[in-house]
Amino acid sequence: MKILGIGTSHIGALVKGWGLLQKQFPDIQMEFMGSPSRRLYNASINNSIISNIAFDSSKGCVPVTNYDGFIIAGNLPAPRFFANIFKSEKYSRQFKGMVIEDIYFSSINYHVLKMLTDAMQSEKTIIQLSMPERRNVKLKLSEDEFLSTTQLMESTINRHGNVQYISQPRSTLNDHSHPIDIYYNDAVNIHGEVANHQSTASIGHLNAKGGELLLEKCLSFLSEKG
Amino acid sequence: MHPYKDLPDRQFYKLAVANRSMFDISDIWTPKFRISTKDNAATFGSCFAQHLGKALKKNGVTWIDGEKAPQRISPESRKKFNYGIFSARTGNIYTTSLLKQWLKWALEGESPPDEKWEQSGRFFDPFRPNIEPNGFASHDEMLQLREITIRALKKVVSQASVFVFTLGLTESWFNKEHGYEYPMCPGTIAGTFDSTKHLFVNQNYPFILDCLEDSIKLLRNYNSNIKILLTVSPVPLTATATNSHVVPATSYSKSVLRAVAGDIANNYDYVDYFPSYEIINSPVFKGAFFEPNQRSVNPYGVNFVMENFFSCLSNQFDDLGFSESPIKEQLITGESQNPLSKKRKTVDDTICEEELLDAFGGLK
Repeated sequence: MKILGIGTSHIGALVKGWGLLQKQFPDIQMEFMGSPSRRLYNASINNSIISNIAFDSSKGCVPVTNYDGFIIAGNLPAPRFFANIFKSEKYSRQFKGMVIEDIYFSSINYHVLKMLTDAMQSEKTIIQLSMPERRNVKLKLSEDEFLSTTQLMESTINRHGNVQYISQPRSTLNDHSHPIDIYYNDAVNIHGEVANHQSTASIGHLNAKGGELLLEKCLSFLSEKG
Repeated sequence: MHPYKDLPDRQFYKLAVANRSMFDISDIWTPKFRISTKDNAATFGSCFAQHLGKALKKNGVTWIDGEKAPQRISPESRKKFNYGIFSARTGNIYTTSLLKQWLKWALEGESPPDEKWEQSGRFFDPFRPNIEPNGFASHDEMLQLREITIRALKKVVSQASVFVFTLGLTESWFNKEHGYEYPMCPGTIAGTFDSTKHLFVNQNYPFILDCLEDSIKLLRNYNSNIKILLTVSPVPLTATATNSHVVPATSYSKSVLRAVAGDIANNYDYVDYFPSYEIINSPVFKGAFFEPNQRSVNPYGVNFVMENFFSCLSNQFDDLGFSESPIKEQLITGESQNPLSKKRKTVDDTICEEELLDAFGGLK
């Protein structure tokens, strides 16, 4: 099975995670592509080859049609972002009811999904990842709140195409759904190397261990799906 | 010697207008006070006020957004739910009496009525009937969200150094029994019209003047440093309930509003009037700034108004900090990738509840 991981800087943790996981999934081959942040909007597909991308482990040689599945790591907000909105008294129920879909459709994740599905002749499984939870956010979420928000994200995102939303592994978060440091310290950049003093990376990017857990969840799903 | 001898050119029609291309007409406003990038501006009022808010923001003036939508919400949804249209989610405030009503709720703690307009199981706020696309899920939710807006309005007034208000209409609808005002005739967007309960009032000069003076007192009592900038919406009436032709009805409304705005500005140092109405409507500009429907202001008109606004300020005062080349209103854009969005018809995409009255024309 050939899988492409494509995304923003968050793809770096998956790159590094793959290095740790490869032996566990001998039937899977992975390639990775990414561009930092909004530069991913510049990526395009011509004659089935993705171009205008900053990092490409396949060196532009693999047509997208050759992949059996995709993992997209863009700028879709983490569950806590949505939970914050749902808990707020400032927004109506109607507004809260449309917010996940609205933000999902405006995200880089959806943009990449459209780009891939437009280029492929057959339906492939696409996993959508939200950004990892950030360290600096105060809102505490109970287990139930985290679960219900994640389920709502799953049911909203999965509605559109052959898509599966996969949430950040619960083991990377503490009781109040805040990040556990060991999965975030020494966060990695887009190529999978340890980022150098990038404060954004250390607040909201996973490190190799975190990437390993997240990728394991994705690949287990894809393996089961066949 | 006589008073006309040494007047500047701008005060003579032949020199200021007749001998010039209309686009060279300048110095149309002599601002009384500075508005700079150090100011915090709040905008409320009629549909045209939305253009002022956008332009102030683009030129580096802090525009107060008292009820922010969550980050990352699409511009289309933001607009659909009326976030970022005015400095609080009041909806259009077309009259000075409506302004006074909102300010009494916000600044004097007066309790708003709990009247609701129910339609197909949804609840519409009579004082901002278009604020949510399909109304609210319950009466309680409607009241709760209105209270949020009232609190936001209070905070906006406390933070603002400039309060921009665009006067829009004289025609108004009141509740006969309790005396409060609706922004729209009941039954048009939602609710049910009942001639025993609802009263049409085409407001006159003394009433509008009193309401505006009361509003200004409320503002200044709460924030003694606030300055007020008045404009009159140049947009003609969508419809009139006066049994007149809509053209003289429009003329009456705009004339009275213009007279009130001018007189109030003359009476107070901290109130000024900006002539956006004249720029769009004066025969001098030959109707060039209207869309083919002869009612909506086209982007060229909006840009011309705002260019005059900032250039007149810059001519009068130094160090205002405005951008050198203000970003002009974008002309027609393509579709966004958001499948929930609809294609834009025109750039004058302001939210205008009064325009919804158009739907009732030609039904006979």
